[in-house]
Formats: sequence, structure tokens, C-alpha cells
Amino acid sequence: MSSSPPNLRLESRSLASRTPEQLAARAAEGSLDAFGELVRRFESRLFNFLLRRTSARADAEDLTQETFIRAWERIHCYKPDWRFSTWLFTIAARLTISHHRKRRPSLRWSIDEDADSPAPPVGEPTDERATGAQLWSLAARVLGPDQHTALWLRYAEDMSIDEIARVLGKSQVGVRVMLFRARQLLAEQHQLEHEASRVYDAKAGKAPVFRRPGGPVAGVTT
Amino acid sequence: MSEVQDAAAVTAVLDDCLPGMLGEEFAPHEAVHAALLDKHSLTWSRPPAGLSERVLLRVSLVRPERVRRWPVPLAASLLLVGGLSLLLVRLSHPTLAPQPVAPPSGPVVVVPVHAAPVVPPPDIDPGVLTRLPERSEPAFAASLERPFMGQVDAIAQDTQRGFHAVISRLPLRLSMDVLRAM
Repeated sequence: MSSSPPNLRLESRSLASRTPEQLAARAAEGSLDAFGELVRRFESRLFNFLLRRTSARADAEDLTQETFIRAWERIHCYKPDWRFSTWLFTIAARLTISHHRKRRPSLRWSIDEDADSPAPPVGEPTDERATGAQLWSLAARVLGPDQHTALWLRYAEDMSIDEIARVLGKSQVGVRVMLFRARQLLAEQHQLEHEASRVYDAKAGKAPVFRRPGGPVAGVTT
Repeated sequence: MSEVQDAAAVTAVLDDCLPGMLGEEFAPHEAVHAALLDKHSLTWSRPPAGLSERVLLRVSLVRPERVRRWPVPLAASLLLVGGLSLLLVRLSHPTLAPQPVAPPSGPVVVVPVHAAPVVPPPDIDPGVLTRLPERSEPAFAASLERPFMGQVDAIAQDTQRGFHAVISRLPLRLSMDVLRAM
């Protein structure tokens, strides 16, 4: 049995049914509960976004906290012309730029070392899902930070070109070219690895080994 | 087509979802796009435990910044009032700007010093220097100083008028009598 008063239960139930933009409007009026609901909703999304912009989990955690605090301090500046997620991710991207200026990353972050759900093996693609996971793994290795982030915002956050451009501080044309090059590079690299894997299988019958830049040697079974 | 045009065409179909067909050369883009659209293929990392609680704890100690809108308009209005007052004063008492010295349009002709014989003007009184002390009476000194004193008075009046014009528009609650007495 819950010990919270009925009006608080009603408040939390009404907050859960509100859109992020409505919650942000409540938070701008001073509602810490509304902002807490925003934190709970965006915690994981923001952390994963920042994990792709930084090189370490600790940095991503610090920046997640900083982003939420900055958002709370500036909540009156939020205009509902944009989605709340776009505004929040824009703050996060700018904080990441400052973070990189202060400290250069020593190691390139590798998704395979950190992932909770392991990526499927490289090799003959069994279905679209396996190929998608391989492509994300490939993206972490071969794409630049901005390309990787643009791809993440496009497919993980369902952002439009306009929204990605706002978050990254680029022009729309720049984002279009960035996405175009990222998909082209992924297609080429995936094709190369796929062919290398088949040749290696045919010759030795052993698993190919790919060396990640800045990371340990990873054996990938087929 | 250039890369920008290719990118615009491909992203219009794949990202803007506009109707259209892509050429055969862009089939790899479509394949990658289709694979990435699958949300289950995304590798999500779990945030550290208690992250949201730590965020909320820190947030509860921070007050949102309040918008302070009055300093900028106040400064702007003061600047505007001051500028208009000075403009009014300048318009009511125009002063002549120094005339710019026009650069010589043609080549400078250097005349030799000894080109012509130096002939002293015939009407110069050679005893003028010896009689100067006799002309140092107060009337002569006053006639020399009069134009300068007039300029000084005009400048002082301009300054005082501008000062009153600016001060009278500021919310200082000073009596104009006090200002006039200054």
C-alpha cells in the first residue's frame, strides 16, 4: 500500500500523461516534479547520446548531470516551437564541445566494450536486425563523431534534418551531406568486411580478427 | 551530379520521406537506411544506477535563473535620451567643422629659392619693433582678446545648455532652480 497522499499520486499520474513540452512548461513555472519527470524520461536517451559524443562512461555521466542542471537553470528560455528533446540535446551537444576543448579524449570509445546488449557477429547477415546491429558497431569504429551523432539522432531519436542541424549547430545542407557520406561509408565498409570474412572463412575456416582503433583486438566469430 | 546534389536527392527520399525513386547507384544507401530503421538493432547502454536521483538532488539545490529584463531597456533608453539631447543642442547651436585641407591635385612644383630676386616691401616701417612697448595699453590687449573671449563664452553656454537638457530628462528629482543655480 502506498503511503503517498492522494493528491501527490494524482499529480504524478497527471505528469506521466503529459508531453515533454507540457512538462517543460510546468517546470518553467517552478514545478520540480515536472522537471523530475523529464529527467526520468530523458535520462537514458541523453546518456546514450552523450556516450557517443564522449570517450568514456564517466564523462557521459558527468555531462548528463550537467545538461540537466543547465536545462533547469535555463528552463524559462525553452520555447515550445521546438521539441523539448531537440532543445535538451542542443544543450548537451554544446556542453560536449566545451568538454572536448577542456580535455582531449585519450581513447576512442568503442561500443562493443560498453554495450549492455552484445552486437551480433559479423558475417553472413541472417536478417535485417543483425545487419543493423553490425552497422551500428561499424559506425562506432569508422565514422567521425559528428557523422556518428547525426546518424544516432536520425535513427535513435527520429529527428528531422532540421532538428539535427540545430543540435549539431550545422546547416541543413551540411547535415544532408553528413548523413549521405555516413551511409555510403557504412555500406562500403560493411561490404568490405563481409567479403573479407567470406574469403577468410574459405581459406582458413577461422574467425577474422579486426583491430579497433585505440581499442583491444577483438575476435569476431562467424 | 555533385555530391551535394546527390545528398539532397537521397536524403529527400530517405529522411524527408518525400515521394520519389532513387537510382540503382543509391541502392546501398537504401539498404543501410532500411537496416538502421530497425529500432531493435540499436545498442543501448544502461545509465549508471541512481543517476536521475543524483541529478534531481543537484537540481533541487539550484534555482532557475530568472529573466532580468529591465537593465537592457533602461540602458538603451538612457543612451537614447542622452543622444537626442546632444543632437538637439548641436542642431540649435551649429558649430563650424574644420575644413579639410585638400591635397594638391597636381604635381608639386618646387620653386628655386634664388629664382627671383627678393625685394623688400616698400611700406614696412623699420621702427615698428622699437615702438611695440608703446602699444601695450589695456585697450589694445582687450582688442586682441575679445574674439577669443567670445568663443569661450559660447562654449560655456553650449555646455551648460546641454547639461541642463540631459539632467532635466533623467529621473533624479532635482529642482530645476538648483540646476540653474549651478
